[in-house]
Amino acid sequence: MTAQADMQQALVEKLRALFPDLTIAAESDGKPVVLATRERYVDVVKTLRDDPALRFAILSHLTAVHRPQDAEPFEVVVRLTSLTLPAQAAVKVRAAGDPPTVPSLAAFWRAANWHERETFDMFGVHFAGHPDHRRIFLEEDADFHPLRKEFPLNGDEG
Amino acid sequence: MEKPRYLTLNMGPQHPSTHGVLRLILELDGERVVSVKPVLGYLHRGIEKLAENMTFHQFIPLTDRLDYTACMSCNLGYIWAVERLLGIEDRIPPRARTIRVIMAELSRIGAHLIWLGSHAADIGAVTVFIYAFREREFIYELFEAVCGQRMTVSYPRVGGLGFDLPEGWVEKCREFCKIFVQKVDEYEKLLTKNRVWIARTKGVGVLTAADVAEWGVTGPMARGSGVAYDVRRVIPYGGYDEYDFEIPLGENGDSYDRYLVRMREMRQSVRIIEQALDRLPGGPILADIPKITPPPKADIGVRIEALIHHFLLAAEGFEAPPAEIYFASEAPKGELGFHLVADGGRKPFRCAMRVPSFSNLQSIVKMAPGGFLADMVTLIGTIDICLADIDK
Amino acid sequence: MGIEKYIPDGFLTANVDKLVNWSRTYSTWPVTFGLACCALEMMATAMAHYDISRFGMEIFRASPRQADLMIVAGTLTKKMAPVMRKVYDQMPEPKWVLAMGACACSGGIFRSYPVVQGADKIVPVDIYVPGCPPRPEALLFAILELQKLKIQTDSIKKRA
Repeated sequence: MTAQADMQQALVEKLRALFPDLTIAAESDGKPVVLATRERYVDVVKTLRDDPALRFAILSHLTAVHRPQDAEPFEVVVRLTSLTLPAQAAVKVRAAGDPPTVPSLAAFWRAANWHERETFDMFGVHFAGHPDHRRIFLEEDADFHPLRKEFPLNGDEG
Repeated sequence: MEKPRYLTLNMGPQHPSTHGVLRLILELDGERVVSVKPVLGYLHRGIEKLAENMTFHQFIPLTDRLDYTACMSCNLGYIWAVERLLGIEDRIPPRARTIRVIMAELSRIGAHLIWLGSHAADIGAVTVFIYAFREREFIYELFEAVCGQRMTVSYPRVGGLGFDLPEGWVEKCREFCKIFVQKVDEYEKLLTKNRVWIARTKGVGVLTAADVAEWGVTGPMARGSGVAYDVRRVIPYGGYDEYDFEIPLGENGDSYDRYLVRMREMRQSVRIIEQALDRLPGGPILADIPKITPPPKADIGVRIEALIHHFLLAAEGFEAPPAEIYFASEAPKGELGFHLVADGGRKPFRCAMRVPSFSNLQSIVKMAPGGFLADMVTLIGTIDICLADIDK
Repeated sequence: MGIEKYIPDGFLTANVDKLVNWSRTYSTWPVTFGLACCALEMMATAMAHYDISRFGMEIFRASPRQADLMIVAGTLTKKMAPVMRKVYDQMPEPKWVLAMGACACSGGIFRSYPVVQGADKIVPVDIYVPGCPPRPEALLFAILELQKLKIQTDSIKKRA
């Protein structure tokens, strides 16, 4: 476990050097998180994927968390896995505007395609530049986003 | 020149070969598939929303219903994640850790048996389906002896396990290991050098290593293309770094190689189970963390503190201090991840599930065009989907 | 051996209704309608260990046009409900529906926005099998009950 903790700390340092203008935090188990701005988001993900020392080549997951208390309540979380290091890291970015929007990764990384569609379906977060921006689970004409905190568990039946 | 007009054919959601309620809208040029558009959501049950409305313990039975071919693996993936969220990973008793590895590997074998049976049956080798279920019944008996349920087991608890192994279970499990390797030989004798099998799977659904990264594919699908991504090896958890096992890799990334990878994985799982049985220690199966872990059943009728803790945990659940983690485990179908956010309350603030079949199924959009209509069935089988996993 | 033992003279008189009913009951063909986890226990029932073939039901027809029984095995979601109704309507008379598992009976553990709380909200159900999932023995018991129901109450006249 200590070897892994050391490696994660070294990775945090390396990410701080790569992205000096952004905050690099660590999650509760030590995994590094890059808190990206919307302008730098795509650039950060591309760098993590393509940098030869990092090679975060596998997009494990992309989802959102709805924190209604925050000024920008929708936080998109991208999980990346590197087999080279090996390690897992995350990139988080807040969606802004009405409807809440972030840039799309699916435009250049097809692994993100369905994940972004699911996040749109469940949260209503828009992904600017997504090649196929539509719902994936609910019916096309559904008018609600179920994972938003204000949506009740049983839907319109209350 | 007129644009060619293709036949639009709907496959599913009620279809014997879609392995669940998957709908594929195919465009065909004669027998050749031009494009495929999967339509999901026919089994969307709102599991992520339900997680936010249940305590951490109450959610365990719902994880069974994620990938229902490998219920134990999903339970364990969730429990390991909650234990990491609470920071109590190091306090799990060694007996519980070892038993969890045994159960996870039995679950892996069970899931691969279903894959083998249904994949082979769809292609036409119906006998293999019946043989695979015969072995799965043995595993069902082992699970039932431990916790009373064959399939949707809900066996582990936060901090340990629900029940200890009954007397004679270890011997029965060893017997299973001994028989099972011979059975895998039997399946291989039926399929591996079978000309029809080779014709239906070799060269079908090729994914290169670059495709694996591009489409986010994990599990045996990635390993069939030579990408050595097995979470047990890459980011070890649950004690897996103490066991000696190989990660089988394919070369060509076609359905035949993925078949070989999964067959070898079943043998490796037997190897891990035997090592775990050899080193199975005695001792408790539940950690001694009264505010989080349910007390042993034997104590509840005898000690008042145990009764109170049991009542509180069942009625209200424990409070999880604010934390956020992502925990990945190697489920039979690929990387199963739980992104858990706790906010100090008794229920998860967010429980996002990274399910392997979801990303794996996306690759059908790459693999299907250019192939025959008959290959669609091979592709669905080789991807090894579970719709409850995909639709959550 | 066989039927010659019962009709040595080569003549058999029977009530047509009873004869048709007997043949329908003991060779009911289900349509493949496994939705979720219960489908696995349905498959286990059809396999060698529990062997649904003893009761004449091992032929699961993919096409509803050739089936008599719809075993709704799994959770019914609102998106799937019209599909289920369509499959039910495509089945020719006489037809029966067996709701297998807690989800098909009443929504099960999924009391949430996309789930229909029971298959009987969409199609008329003849037999309910509780369980999550019901053991193969429970499904076989339900099938035997259904056979009893058919033998005792069904008739060509009523269906027409």
